Parts: sequence; structure tokens; C-alpha cells
Amino acid sequence: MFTRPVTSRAAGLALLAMLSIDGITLALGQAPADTESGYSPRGADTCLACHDTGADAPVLAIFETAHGSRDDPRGPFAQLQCESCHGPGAAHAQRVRRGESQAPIRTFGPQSGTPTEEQDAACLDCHASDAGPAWHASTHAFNDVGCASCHTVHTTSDAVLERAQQPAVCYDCHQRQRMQSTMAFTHPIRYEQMACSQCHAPHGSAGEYALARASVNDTCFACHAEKRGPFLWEHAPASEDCSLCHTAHGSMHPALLRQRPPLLCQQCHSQAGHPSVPSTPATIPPFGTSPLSLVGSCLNCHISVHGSNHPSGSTLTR
Amino acid sequence: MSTAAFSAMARTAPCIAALVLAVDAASAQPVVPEDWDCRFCAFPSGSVASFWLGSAFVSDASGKFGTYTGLDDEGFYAVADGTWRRWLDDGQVWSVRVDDLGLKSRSIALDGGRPGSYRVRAQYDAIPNIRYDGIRTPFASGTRALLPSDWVTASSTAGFATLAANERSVAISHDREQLMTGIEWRARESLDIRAEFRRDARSGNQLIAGSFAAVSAWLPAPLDYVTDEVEVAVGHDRPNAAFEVGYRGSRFSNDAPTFEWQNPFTPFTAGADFGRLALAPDNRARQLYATGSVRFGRSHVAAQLSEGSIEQDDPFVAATINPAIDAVALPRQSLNGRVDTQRLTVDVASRVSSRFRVSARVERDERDNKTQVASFTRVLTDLAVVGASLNAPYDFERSRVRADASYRLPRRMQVTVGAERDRWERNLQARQRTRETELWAEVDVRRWESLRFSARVSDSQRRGSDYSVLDRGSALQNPRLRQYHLADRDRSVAAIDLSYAPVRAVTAALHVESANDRYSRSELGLNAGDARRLTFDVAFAPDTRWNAYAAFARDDLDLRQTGSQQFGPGDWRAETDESTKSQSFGAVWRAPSERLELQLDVNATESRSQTSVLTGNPQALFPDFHTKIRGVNVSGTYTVNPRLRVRVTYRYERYANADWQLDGIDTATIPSILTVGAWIPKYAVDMLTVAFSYTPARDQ
Repeated sequence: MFTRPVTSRAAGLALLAMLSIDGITLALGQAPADTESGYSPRGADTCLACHDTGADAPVLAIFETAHGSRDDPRGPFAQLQCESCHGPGAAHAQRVRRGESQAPIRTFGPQSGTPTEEQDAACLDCHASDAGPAWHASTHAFNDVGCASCHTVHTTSDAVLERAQQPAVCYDCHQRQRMQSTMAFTHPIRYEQMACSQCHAPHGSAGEYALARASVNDTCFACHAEKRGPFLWEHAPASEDCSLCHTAHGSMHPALLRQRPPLLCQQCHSQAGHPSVPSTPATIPPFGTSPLSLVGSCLNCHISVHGSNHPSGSTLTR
Repeated sequence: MSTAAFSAMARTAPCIAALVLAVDAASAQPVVPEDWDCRFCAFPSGSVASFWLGSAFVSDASGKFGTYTGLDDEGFYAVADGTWRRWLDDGQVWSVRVDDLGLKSRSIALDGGRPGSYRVRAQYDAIPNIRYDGIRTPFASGTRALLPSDWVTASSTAGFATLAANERSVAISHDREQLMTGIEWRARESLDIRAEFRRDARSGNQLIAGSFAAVSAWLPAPLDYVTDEVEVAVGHDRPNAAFEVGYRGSRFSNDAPTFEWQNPFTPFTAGADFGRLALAPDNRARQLYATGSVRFGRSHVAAQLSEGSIEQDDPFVAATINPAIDAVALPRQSLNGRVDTQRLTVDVASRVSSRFRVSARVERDERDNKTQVASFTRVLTDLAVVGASLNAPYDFERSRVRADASYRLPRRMQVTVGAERDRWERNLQARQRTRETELWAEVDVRRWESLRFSARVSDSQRRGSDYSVLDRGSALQNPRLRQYHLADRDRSVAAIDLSYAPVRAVTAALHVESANDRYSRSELGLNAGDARRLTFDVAFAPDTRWNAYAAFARDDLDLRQTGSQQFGPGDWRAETDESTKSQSFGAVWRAPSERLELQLDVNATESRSQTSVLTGNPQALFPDFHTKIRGVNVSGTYTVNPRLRVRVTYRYERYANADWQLDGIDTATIPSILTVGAWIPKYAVDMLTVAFSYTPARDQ
């Protein structure tokens, strides 16, 4: 349950440390640069002379992925190979003297020296439709959380696209949500049955909190359609916003409630003929056995809290 | 769909499309040199597969441990995972993946197609959900919960003479099966079409309460839901613009829409021997959406419009099944309910210069409930006619405007300021209109590539129209009460973030936040809420051979509210203090030979909630709600040879809780409620897994 196979930030750092070429790369096997075009003389063969299986950051796994396909006319290897994404690499591939730094090349990731905007532009050349129309105005884009902050390319599978591994990528920044996912009552994220992206659209959306659908309730109804109604007798807060009573990422209370009834209900209800009786320790064993305090509290009678379709269900007891 | 919605959509969509076409620009592609023959490129061919087979032993039975995983019984389980992938000569790639085939949480996925041309996906997931291992109940299961023939009714649970003899154990659980199939097709350059079908089926039982006025019984009731959803979308993208239109349709059906149960108590009125609940009605929803974005130089404009409806027209059940009550006429036989929803969002983001960027969002959200209002004669829990009530179809309109501006100062400092205005207009609520204004500012400082510090403060105020007590034919609310989501609220938030990477191998991050809500004009209801949050994590990754992490998080929440038991001024107060803290650490190490990999993960999360109630007498303190989960996961994988690997995993999880609402409450503990002894038992489970992986030779 608590498996966090490899900390994605840690792995990413290790990878970026290797790929953020700053002079430590060996210059063996490099060919003279094609200085006219700026591109390397032999394309990927130039790059792979150094970045092979023996490199600290092997890149050959890319060929197992869609990025390594020659058959996709938009793919890097049907075009300028490594330099489709990394840009012209002639200068970078040039031999350097001991102690000198390798010329920089476009690299990717949050610690890269390449501006995030430039990194993202390289990705969006092909992935504009994957990012979606909302990307540029999204919270991630506005805060310089670029494509390579979450996605990895030189690996057999991109962790953020794998249901079981995606949460670890998100939790690198969203630490509070990681804590909440380990609480007693949660959605099945830590059981690898659900990914963050089933509710959230990291590339931006029309909804609040980068939700995948237009509103909080639309998102919840995608899996909990039985709560959708419309009911004859509505519970207006439930129709308006599920998060008024529930918290999505984890709770110590059953049903992911924000607080226990009766206090949760009494924040909005204090009615004539059904007064807002305080639930006190005197009402629970060994002193008492009040139905208001114990088991379901208000739900012992008002079970249809999400709405009722019973003609006599106006108080949500039917 | 409303005429206004149609016209709004009709106006917006062509505008977006026109902008898409207007700003399109061709981009020149460099020519690939002929001698770039990619000799070192390891393009795959043929097929590759890998299978994990083995066994797992679980030391103890626990529904809580087994929920979502199916590991709920003590004993042995089969481990069966596998992947297979094949690359065809024409560029197609197909893969099949199976996970947890030996468990109730199995999943099977097919994914394939030709990259850049089309993709086909299909996935099946089974998710067991075990709410309670075994409740105790005298009721028979099914859509009609009957009591045993020798049942003796009584006015309180103490008088249920045959209860103990008739209690049987029933597990409260359901199995969820999800099927998804989808296709994505790049029909033409820049034109994508995708279609998906999803089915979500749940079957099993649930625990619900059925009441007769002041007495009630908890009952196992059937749960049999199916939700089908179809989504079709067409997207068009150009270098400077993108556009997508789509349709989403969803249908929910419940094969157990009503539930009847026998009254275990002596009926208050003649004929009240059975009660009936209306469970979730069938419903359907549809939504049309269009999104588009256009780039103008360094600016982007995105618009998203969705328009949909939710409909529900299940036949009503009778107002009562009490034969002693004369038939009650219904104003109609079904709800014919319909809610139209519309949402429009326009985003503008501009990097005005390399230092200055702005973004703004305008949103409008509308829920238009077209369900007719009628007067329904109310039979109080199948006991007696008590008058009539009007249904209150709920509508709202929300409009929100938000803007951010960020300026990068010299010395790698950035300042961001923003504002938001959020307006709600609701019908049939105690407060018709609310508006909330929020202002915030943030400073972000970076030093030496390794240090980043940011501080953010925000302040918001919610105010609104007059608050009034609604009279809808049922009990009135205390006029001093302010529902917390409608009440005046002052909120202030302050947060700091610090991240530090002294060397490439180490990163550390700290987040501290304080949020305070004040409902100073709420005489009754929620008065205040104070939250404090802290997270800290450090990661260490010296090389690709090993890495380690540690994280700590803590959340504290204090709530204060006031109530009135005399339907007058406040005469009791409650304070709830909740805290959750979580620690985790772990490491992965790979031997230089790459043959051995070891992994460790440890996690401990503890939550505590304490409530005190002040009623004029000395302060009364409840026992704590308390949950504690501790887990350890250790695994080692040894590569015997390129074909064979062995993995040994040990997992330990311990769950402890204290819940005074449930713990020790037996079926007859509460005189007026027949309960089911449903509480979540503590557990400590060890699990040992041994599995072997076989990777056949690559088929070329």
C-alpha cells in the first residue's frame, strides 16, 4: 500500500544531472560539427556515441516508445532524430579540451538551463493536441511547471502516464495530497486503482482546481452517477458542491466527510420542532445511548442526504 | 438545451474556429540529411513478453486491509502479472498487460495502433470494496428485508426477545467492474478524432437506515448500479491554435430502485409494519463541449463552453405502503426532472515581456433546474399524513473573474499579485446572493540556482444579500443560524515555501501554511475555522544506483460552532480540534552488477479528532476519534539471468482506530435504533510474496 517504487523526483534529478550537459560528458567518438546548419554531422549516431547504454543516463529505452518510432511522420526519429527535440547539436558535439565545458544544448526538466517556455515549445510542436487548448492558460504553465517537470521521455514508460506510478509524480509537488492519500478513508489511489488524472486535468481545464470536468460535481458524478439526480427533494448543498461536506483526497472520517455528524449537519441546520440538540459525552456509553450521537447520528433517520425521489421524502428520510 | 445556450454556443464556436484558421501559419521543417542513417538506433522489432508468477501469503483476514485489493482473507493468493508487446513491420505496436490476475482487483489492458495514426485501447478493472467484514442483522437480504417468522416486536430494542437467536453475519461489500474502450484516430494532418465508451458496474450490498419517526433500523440493502458513458470528440490543431468539440453522454441505471423492510418495532400507528425507501433513480446526462485556444504572439486566449442537461423520470413509488392510510394522490407519476447546465470559461494568458506576464479568467456557471414545482402530500415515514410540502428545484448562477500579474525583478525575484471576484445567485435559499472578493500577493526569490523561497498572503471577504428564513412547508430554521457556505466570511491565508538543493543530489522542500476563517456574523452555525499545514520532504539521489527520500506532513484544523437547543439564542458551543501527521521514508538501491535491487518504504499516518461541547455545565470532552496506519514494504529483486528474475516482498500493515460512534455499539445498545454492530476492527497483517519473472527470448 505504501509502495513508492522510486521517488520520481529523485530519479528525475539523477537523470537530469546526467542529461544537463555541463561539461562532464565524455567527448569520445565525436565527429566534427556541421557548423553551417548547426546540426550534428550524423544525427542520432553522433549523440549515441556518448549517450549509449554505458552512459550514466542511458537513453536507448526511447526506442521502445512512440518517440522512438520511425513510422510516425511527426515523431522525432522520422525527422531530425534527437535534434528534433534537443535542437541543433553540432556545437555540443564538438570535441573539447580537458577542463573546458561542453557547449550547451537544449535540455529538459525543471533544473535545466533551458527556459521552460522553450522546452515546452519543443514538446508542443507535436503534442499540441495532447496538451489541449487550455494548456497555455493553465496553472501549471503559468507557474513554469513545464512538460518535462512531469513527463519523462528516455524511459520505457512515462511514469506519469501509468496509473500506478502517476501519483508519486504529482506528490513531488503536492505533498499534502500525498499525506491525505495515506489516511484511513481515501479514494483508492494508494491501492493503484485510481490516478490523479481521473479527476484532474494537469494541462488545464474549464473547471476549478484543474478538474477534468466542468465542475466539482460533474467530476464526482463521473463515478458516482447515483448521486446525480435530479431528485424530487434536493439537498441543495449536495446539488451545488460535493466538497461542502466531503473532502476528496483523504479523511479520518468515513465517507470522506469533512467532519462527523451531528456537528457537520448542525453547521447548517437548527430547526424548529427538531432543535439543534447538543451531542455531549453524557449521551454516549457508559452514560447514555443517544441516537443523535451514535452510529450514523443524523443519518440514522435522514439517510437520503444526497436527495430523495420518494413522494414523502421531503425530510430525506425516505 | 435553452435557446440562449444554443445561441451562445453557436456564436462562440464559429468565432473560435475562425480564429484558429486565421492565425495558422506554416512552419518550415529542416531537411533530414541523407547520411543520418541511425546505425546505433535500437529500433525494436518482433515481440517481447514478461510474466510474473508466484504466490502471496496473507497472515490475517481483514476487510479493511482487503478493500480495493481483494486481499481480505487469510491464506495464499496467486500472483500473476504479465506484459506482452509486439512491433509490426508496418509500424504498428500492440501491447497487452495483465495485473493481479489472481486477485479480485485484477486488471487487463490492451493498447495498440500505429503511432501518429491511430490508437486503440481497451481496459478492464475489477475493484472490490469491502465496507464491513460482517455486520450482524436479523433481516434477510434482498430488495425486501424481512424479519424471521418468530420475530417479536417491541417499543425498544431491549424488548427484541428473539434478536440474539436470529442474528446472522452479513458482509457489506460490492464489486466494481470498469470497462473502457477507446480509439484515437489522426484522420488528417492536424485533425484528431477520439471516441470512448466506459461502463462502470457495481453490484453487492450497502448499509442504509430505514426509520419510522423516532425509531430506526440499519439494514443491508442491495446495490446494483450500471453507468454507461460515451464520449466523442474532434480536435483540430495548428501551430498557433487548437480547437476541440465533443459530446459526452451518460446513463445511470439502478436495478434495485426501491427497498422495503419490515418494521422491527411495534408500529406507532396501525399498518406501519413495512417501510419503503426510494433508492437512487435512473438518470441520464449529456454534455456538449467546445474548447479552443489561439496564440497571438506571446499571448494565448482559450475559451471553453459546455452545455448539458441531466434528466430523471423514474416512476414515483406510492407515498406510503401503509394499507391503513387512504391512497394519497400524487400530482404526477414521475418527476420529469431536468436540469440544464452551462459553463463558459475564457482564459487569457500573456507573456507581455520576458519579465511581465498576466493571466485572467472569466467563468460563468449556471444550473437551471426546470423541474416543475408541485405540492406533495407527505406521509411521515409510512405512519401518518402530516401535510404537504412543495419541492424546491434548486438553481444557481455563478460568475467568477480572476486575474494575476507577475513581474520578474532583478536579482531573480518575482512578484505576483492577483484578485478574484466570485458571485453566486441561488434560488430558494436563505440567502439569494453572495459575493466574495479575494486579493493576494506572492513574492518568489531564487538564489544561487539552489535556493527558492516564496511567500504568499491572501485575504478574502464574503458578503451577500439579506439572510431570511425559508418557509417551504416543513420545519423552519432558527433565524439566528447562518449556513456556513452562505454566511459572511473573512478568510486570511499566509503560506511560505522553501526549496533547497545544495548539491545536485539533494533537494529539500518545506511548505508552511496558515488559514483562518471567521464567520463573525453567524450567531448560530460555524463561527470559525483555523487550519495550519506543514509539509517537509527531502530527496537524495547521488546516482542512478540508489536514491532515498523522507517526508513529513502535518495538518491541524480547529473548528468552533454554536447551536441552540431551545430554538433561541446560542446555548451550546462545540470545539473540534483535528490533527493528522504523516511520516514516510524509503530508499532504492541497485547493486553495481545490476543483478540485485532492494527497496524499502515505511509510512506512518496518525489522525486524531477531539471534540468538546460547552452547554453551561463544566466543559464536556468526548473521547478522541483516532486512526493510525503504519506500513512497511520491503522488496528485493534478483536477476538470475536475462530470462529469469525472482522477487521477494514483505509487507506489514497495522491499522488501529478508536471511534466512539461505532465501537462497542451492539445491535440493541440504542433503544430506538436496531443497529448492526458495524465497526472497523483493528488489524495487523503480514504479507509475504515470492514471485518469479520469466522473459522469453525476443521473438524477431
